Amino acid sequence: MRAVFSLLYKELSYHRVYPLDLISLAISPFFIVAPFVFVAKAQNENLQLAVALGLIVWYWLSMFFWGVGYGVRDEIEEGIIESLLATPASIRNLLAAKAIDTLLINLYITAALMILLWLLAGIPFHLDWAKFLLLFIVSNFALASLSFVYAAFVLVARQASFAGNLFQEAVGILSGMTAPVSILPKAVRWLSMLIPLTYAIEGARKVAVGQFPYREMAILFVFGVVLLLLGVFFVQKAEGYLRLTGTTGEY
Amino acid sequence: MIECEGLTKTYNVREKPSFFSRGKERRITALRGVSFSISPGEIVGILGPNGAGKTTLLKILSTLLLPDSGRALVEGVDVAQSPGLVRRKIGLVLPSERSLYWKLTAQENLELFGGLYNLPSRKVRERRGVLLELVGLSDFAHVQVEKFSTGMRKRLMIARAMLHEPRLLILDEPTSGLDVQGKREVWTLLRNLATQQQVTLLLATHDMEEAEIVPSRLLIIHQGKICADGSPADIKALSSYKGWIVVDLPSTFSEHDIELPDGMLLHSIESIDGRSRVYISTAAPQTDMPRLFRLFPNATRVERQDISLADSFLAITGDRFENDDAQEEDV
Repeated sequence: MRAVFSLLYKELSYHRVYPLDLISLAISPFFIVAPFVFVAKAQNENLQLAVALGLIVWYWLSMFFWGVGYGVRDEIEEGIIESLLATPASIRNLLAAKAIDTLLINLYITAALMILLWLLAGIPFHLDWAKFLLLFIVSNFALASLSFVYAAFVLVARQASFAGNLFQEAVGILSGMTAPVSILPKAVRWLSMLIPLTYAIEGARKVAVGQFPYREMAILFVFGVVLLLLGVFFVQKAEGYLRLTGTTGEY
Repeated sequence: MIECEGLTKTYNVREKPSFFSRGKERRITALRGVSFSISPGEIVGILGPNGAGKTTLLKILSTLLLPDSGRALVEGVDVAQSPGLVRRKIGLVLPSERSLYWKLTAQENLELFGGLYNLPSRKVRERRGVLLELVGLSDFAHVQVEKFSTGMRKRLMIARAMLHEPRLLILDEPTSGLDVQGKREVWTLLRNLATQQQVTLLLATHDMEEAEIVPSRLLIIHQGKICADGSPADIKALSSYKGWIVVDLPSTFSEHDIELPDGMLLHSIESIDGRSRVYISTAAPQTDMPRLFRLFPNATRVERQDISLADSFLAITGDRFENDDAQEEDV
């Protein structure tokens, strides 16, 4: 755990070095989310809240993909990955630190986005905050685990941003980010059931209508555990592949 | 301290693909059955031309790379079987100065790596003070690494590698990119580490001065094989030619104009302002000097020069470009 906290401290220190990035993280999601929210507002207020929550939750996935999955490339591009691998700590420690950092960033983005949507788009987030926070933690656990699997792919493929983009966009549609899963073609609806983001979005919308999303949180937890085991397995395999091929320092 | 037996490593390298083909794959042999051992406290230099296999060997020893076959042990622990244990025993200094977090300060870099070695916070605080003092960076503890000169970064990398008090320090070209002063600072630092803290040093270099000054023992690696092993003086003695004789002549000569007696080899002729400087390598410079005085009665200078490590190294390794081709095969 000491290795994870040391790496987390490094991640947090980098935010201190780039304060403008923190400001950008608070503001720029609004400009991505706002067009969809205003279109929904033109329809009705309930849809507006559902779309806003869908997009906020999708943003969590996006941050994990870039911050954890693709984030491992930061160390590769900086040229420090070999120095890290020469210590007893592993890439899993690095990913865990990046996951905790991303969770904190997601909390920050969510708060900033909700405030901006309330002030600029007039969306009242009357949520049970305790339930929402619980859902946030379980959802972030599942999405972080998914990003571990993507990180293993990035370690081996190195140029994997195309796959990350494609996956996030497809998952966004399939998980009911802006429109409910029920209106998707039957042929692809089963795919939605295999995506943790579907349950995170559904859970957020349940919290918005005053329900406790037990079922969604249980499913997300199971997803989190299974994906974490898979992610750790694949990252271990990827580390072995890097040691075999000697491509650790290449990008 | 280190035992290597029959280490081999090949890489598959694919040529850049075209639109219609995937590109031909080549197998490059980096190491061919490398065996050697290093005792505790030794300072060993691995000397070889680019592409000789130095970095591959160091990466295997530092657990970053798996050998295809053979075995490497660090203090009796197999690097392939127990990489985690080996990592606690070694400190690694990589050639790239980018192997530090540039946005963090020197102190933050050391604290981070102390955490990665799972050292208690108190121990890290102690060690960082001692090490920053040792590498002469105490006054720069709170300065971001990006503000450092190359020499300062290299010294910080050595401090970082020593954080967990390893008994073996592996250094890959520790002075690459440094000016003469910077190199000398690092050499002094390394010698002090070896003598004062009994750290075993294994450093790869292709800097002849470094290879002559720092290590007490050299392994010459070429085409993935160890082709010479001994002290710098032993390596020099391996060359069949024991020295140079430089002859300055008052007019220009070509190679065809000069016929040398047996035991001497015409190395090269430089023409400067209508005069010639002839370089002759010889197995017995002491006895050949009078013969050359007789052969060139007009010579304005006949002077003996000792063979350098570089001369001997080139004699041992030959033409590396010719030999590099021999290491590749199509797959």
